[in-house]
Amino acid sequence: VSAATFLLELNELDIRVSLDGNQLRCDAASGVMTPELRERLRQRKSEIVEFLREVDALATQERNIIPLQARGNRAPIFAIGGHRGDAFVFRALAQHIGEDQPLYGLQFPGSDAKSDPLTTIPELGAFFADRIRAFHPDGPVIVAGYCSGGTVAFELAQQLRSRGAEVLFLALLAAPYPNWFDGMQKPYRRAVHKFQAVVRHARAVCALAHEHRLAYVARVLSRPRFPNQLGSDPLLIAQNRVASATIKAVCDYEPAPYPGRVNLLLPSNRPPSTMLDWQNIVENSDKFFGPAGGHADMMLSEPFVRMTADLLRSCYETAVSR
Amino acid sequence: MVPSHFVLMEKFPLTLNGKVDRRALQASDLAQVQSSKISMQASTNTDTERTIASIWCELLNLKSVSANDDFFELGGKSLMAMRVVARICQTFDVDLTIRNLFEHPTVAGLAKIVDQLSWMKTRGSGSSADREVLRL
Repeated sequence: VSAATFLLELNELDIRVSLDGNQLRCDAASGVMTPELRERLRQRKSEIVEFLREVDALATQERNIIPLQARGNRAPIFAIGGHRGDAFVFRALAQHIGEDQPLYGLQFPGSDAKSDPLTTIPELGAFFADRIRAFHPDGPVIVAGYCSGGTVAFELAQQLRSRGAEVLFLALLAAPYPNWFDGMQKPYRRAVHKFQAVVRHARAVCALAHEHRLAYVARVLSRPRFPNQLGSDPLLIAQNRVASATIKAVCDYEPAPYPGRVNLLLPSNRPPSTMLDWQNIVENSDKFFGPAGGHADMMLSEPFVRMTADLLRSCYETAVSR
Repeated sequence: MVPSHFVLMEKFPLTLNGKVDRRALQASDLAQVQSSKISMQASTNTDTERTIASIWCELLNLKSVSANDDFFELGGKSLMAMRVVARICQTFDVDLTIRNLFEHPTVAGLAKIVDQLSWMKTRGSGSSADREVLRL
C-alpha cells in the first residue's frame, strides 16, 4: 500500500504520526502499537518522513502564485493576466521564456468561486505584494502585466518597492492606460471597439501561416462571451465577477508617478496611443515593438509569443547590464 | 519540448503537387492518437488515480487516460483546469488548488497530492487519554 494509505490505516487505529526533526513520532493509545506495527513503521520510516515533509510543504504553499516555469536562477517574473486574473494566459510564454528564467502567474482571488474578488487596484497590489515578499523575500523581481493586468502590475510594482523589494523592471505588455477602460464603458466606444476587433482578427488570420489559422479562429470563438454565455456554471459566474470587479477597479484607479524602470512591450510598430500614455508618469521607460500588423491578442499566442519571450529576455539583459 | 505522442506512418499523405499534405497529416495524427488512447488500458494503480482518471475522461471527453498522461497535453485549458479542480475538490472533499494542477499535471501526480490533502484533514484528530509515544 502507498504511504498515504498506510497512514490512513494508522489514523483509523488512532495512531498519530508526526515529524520531530528527522525523527518520526508515533503517538497511540496504550497497547495499540503492536510489535508488528512497530516493525512496519521502522521499515517504512524514510517513505513516511518524505510524505510528511511534502504534506508540510503543501500546507504552507501559496495558492495564488502559479509556477508556470520554476527552473532557473534569474530574477523571477511575476506576471498578471487580463481582467479575469487568469494565470493560464502565460502558459505559452512560459514554454518559450527559457529554462533559466522563472515565470510565475498570479491568479486573482475569486476566480475559483471560493472567495470574493478584490475590488480596488491598491487591494490587489497589496494582496500580491505581501505574497510575493513571503514567497521570494530576497533578491530582485520582475513584474509583468498584460492588457488590464498592466494596471495591477503597475500598482504591484509600486507596493513591492514600498516594501523594500528591488523591482528590476516593470514590463507592460499591450497594456492600455487605465482611463482607456473607462472610455470603453460607453456603448458607442464598445461598438467601435468590437468592429475594430473584427477587422483586427481578420487581418491577424490573413497574416498567419496556413496551419495556424484554424487554431486562431477556434481560440477566438471559444472564449465565453460574457455575460451572454454564463448560464448557471459557477466557475463562469465567478470569472465574470472577477472580470467586472477588476474592470471597475481599473477605471477608478489613478496611477501615481513611478520612479522605477518601465518597459512597454507593444504589439506592433504602430501601437494604440493609450499604451504609450504610461510614459507620462514614469521616469525611465523603453519601448519594444512587435511586428507590423500585430495586435494585443497575438502577443501571448503562438506563433507571436516567441517574439514576446525574446523581447522579455532582451529587457532582462538590458536591465542587468545597466 | 518533448513530444507527447509518436505516430508511425507507412507513408506521408501528399498533395497533388507532391508536397506533404499537412492537413491530412494532422487529421491522421489525431485519429491515431485517439485510437491508441481508446485501446490503451488505463494504467492507473490506486483508487485515487482511477477516480481522477475517470473525472478527466468525463470532462475532457476521452475514452481513457493513463496515470502519466499530462492534463495540458490532452488539451486541458484554463476553464477546464478549474472545472477539473472543482470536481476533484467535491469528490474527495479536499482543498485542491489550480496551482496543484499546474505543478502536478499528471493523474499520478495529482493523485499523490489528493492523498496528501486527504491525510492532512484527518491527522491529529485522535483522543488524548493514556497514550504512549514511539520515536523512530
